[in-house]
Amino acid sequence: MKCPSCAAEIEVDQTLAHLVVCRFCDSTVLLDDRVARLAGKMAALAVPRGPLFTGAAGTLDGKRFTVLGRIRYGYSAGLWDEWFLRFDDGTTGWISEDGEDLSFEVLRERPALGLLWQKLRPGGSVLVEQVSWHVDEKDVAVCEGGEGQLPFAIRAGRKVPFVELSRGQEFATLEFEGEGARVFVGYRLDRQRLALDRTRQEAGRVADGLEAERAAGGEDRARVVKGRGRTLSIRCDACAAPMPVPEDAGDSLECPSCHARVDLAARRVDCAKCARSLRLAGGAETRTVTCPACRTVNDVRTDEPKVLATLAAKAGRAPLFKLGTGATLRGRAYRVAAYCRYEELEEGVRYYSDEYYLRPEKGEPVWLVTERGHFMLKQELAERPQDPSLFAAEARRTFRYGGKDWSVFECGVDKLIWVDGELPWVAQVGDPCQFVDAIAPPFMLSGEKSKTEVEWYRSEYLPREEVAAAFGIPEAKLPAVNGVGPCEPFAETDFQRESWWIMLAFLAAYSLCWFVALAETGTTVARGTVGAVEAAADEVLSAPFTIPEAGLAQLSVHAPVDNAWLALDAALVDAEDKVLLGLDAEVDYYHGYEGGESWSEGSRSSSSFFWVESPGTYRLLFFAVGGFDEAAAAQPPRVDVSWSIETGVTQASYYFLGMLLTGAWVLWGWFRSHSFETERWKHSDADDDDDDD
Amino acid sequence: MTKASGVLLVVMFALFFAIHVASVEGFGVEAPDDEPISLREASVRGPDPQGRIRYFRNGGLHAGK
Repeated sequence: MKCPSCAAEIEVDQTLAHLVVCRFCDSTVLLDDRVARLAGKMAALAVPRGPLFTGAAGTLDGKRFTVLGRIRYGYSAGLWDEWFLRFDDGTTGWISEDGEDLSFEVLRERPALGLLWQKLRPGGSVLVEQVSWHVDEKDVAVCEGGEGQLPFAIRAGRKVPFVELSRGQEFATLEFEGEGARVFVGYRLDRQRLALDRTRQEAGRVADGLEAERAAGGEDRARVVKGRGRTLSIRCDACAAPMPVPEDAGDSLECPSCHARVDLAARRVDCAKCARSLRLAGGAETRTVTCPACRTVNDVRTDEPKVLATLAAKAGRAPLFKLGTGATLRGRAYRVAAYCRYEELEEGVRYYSDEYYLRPEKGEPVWLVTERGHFMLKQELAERPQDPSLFAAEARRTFRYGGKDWSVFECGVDKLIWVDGELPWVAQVGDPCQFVDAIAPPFMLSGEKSKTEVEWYRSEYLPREEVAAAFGIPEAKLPAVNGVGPCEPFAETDFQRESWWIMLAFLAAYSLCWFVALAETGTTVARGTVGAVEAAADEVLSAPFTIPEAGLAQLSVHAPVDNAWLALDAALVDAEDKVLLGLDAEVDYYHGYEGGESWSEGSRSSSSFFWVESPGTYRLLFFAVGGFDEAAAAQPPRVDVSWSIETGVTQASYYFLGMLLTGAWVLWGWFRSHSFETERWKHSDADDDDDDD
Repeated sequence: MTKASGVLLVVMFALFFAIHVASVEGFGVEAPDDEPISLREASVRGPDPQGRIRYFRNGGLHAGK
């Protein structure tokens, strides 16, 4: 059809499009059943950073599509684009692009009714079409404009309250308008699943007018914004003097005042407070930048920055890793793009943690977190825990997520107090943020809940030597370690771990043998009684008895002494009256009542092992000495001593030695581990709870 | 399993076997004397007008030596 304003030929899918923006004159054309009518001019949108563009064709998971249009939204944390797709099978869908994050959603036919945006809370849940969803984010977006063909009317500047929901791998958005909410349901999208037939340059879709130019052959290097042939000026990075930029300017220009070479290819803005020129290494992705001169945190979602906050000098400190420093972590190259400092106030004490935002040349950015000399590598999670009660959970509470069992380490409220460098979202300096940390060493799960959204991250503990090697600095230059890190793994070698289990197994074996040996009473082959007084006056021979087998035997003695002692000598005599060996047995038993409590000590029984060379007939010769105190009395206690001989017995004492040896090893290993864990939890909420107790 | 753990396992098995044998075979217990003394002989040494056994009172195993 022809544009009603400029008569240019514009492509329209009559079955899908409800609004078309003429790409030549930016006129907005509303389409209804009977007529196309003009509805004003649409604001020109900045060229998108990603590969998608209106008119692009490609495949998504093997399904062919064409990009019909785009809507750009701005919100508190930045900007995102919604691309309207038409598939070859006649269906439609939307790709949402927020920096590096992509998601694919389909607009449901029926809007959700009866939902109130005001009543929804980040971290809470909502029922949509009888299905419960977790509320990840709640905010108000402003429609910045659109282009191409769209299935519903939009108006630049219109406010659209929205919430983002998740349910496992699924993702949904509710856009509230009028009495209902448009429901988009889909999933997070990996860029690998998207393939375009041609790039924007190959399709000849370069920008003109007030949109930024792109240097030929280099999509990442945007030139200075120029307006319809009019030369603009920039400020020198070094001396901040204004520099006119001629139309034929190359990638760099010499400052006429200080002769410094200024890079024209990078995006730059002027600080909202002191007007110093700020070069943005992150280009269009940067949403927050701190001016190094006046410490003003600037919102740079557009090229007209706004002041977000002015940092107090006392809140900051020199970062460990300077901005722009390169590092190679886990095989990937990064640059330090920003440094943030967080403060938590707990019972009058301030705790600090530092985070370095590392931007790679390609791929997902990461955070390097440091606290008390420990380091962790942190990445945002797409699939999040859905339990909102975690933000108020008590320490050591466990829950399952991602195939692991996690223990809550700490909950609290912290706030961002210092930002240096560039961030791809709008930093809310000073705003409180609820957090929860849960550990499954060497990993940590961190949840952060602000007024508008809930985000989850997974961190992995980094050994100090790895951090030092990544930045090419000596380990001694890293801050000193204080205690055990929250998710620091217990350091033990393979040998230490394996040997502990080996010793534990043998401890069990020795213990079992010891119990069996103690319980084994053997076979009684002889028993008798001898009077203690009689045995003291004379050496008494027992009646003959038979020991049927050679081997280990035991003499057991029992004497009912009472506050007295008895020492019994015994000798084994064979059938030829030869004394083969001597044994002794001592019994004593004392008891009393003292200080309101009864006491007792000693034993009325005793036993001795001996070796029988050959079976045969034997007798025992006894001689007794006893008394009631330390000295032997003229006459020992008047008691009858019962004796017995058992065969088929086992000595338990050697098994006990084995238990001692293996038990000491096991106990030492447990003690090391326990001490480590005690030190770890000293810095958690659990320790505070114990203190309260 | 590391080499050191393997060595430890072998050593512990050997020790367990040794302890078991020592426990069952009576390692360290009283064993019969190589030259046992006659009870009568031990008893006749030293004064005892009634000829009663005086093995222990004469020094026990060393009585006849």
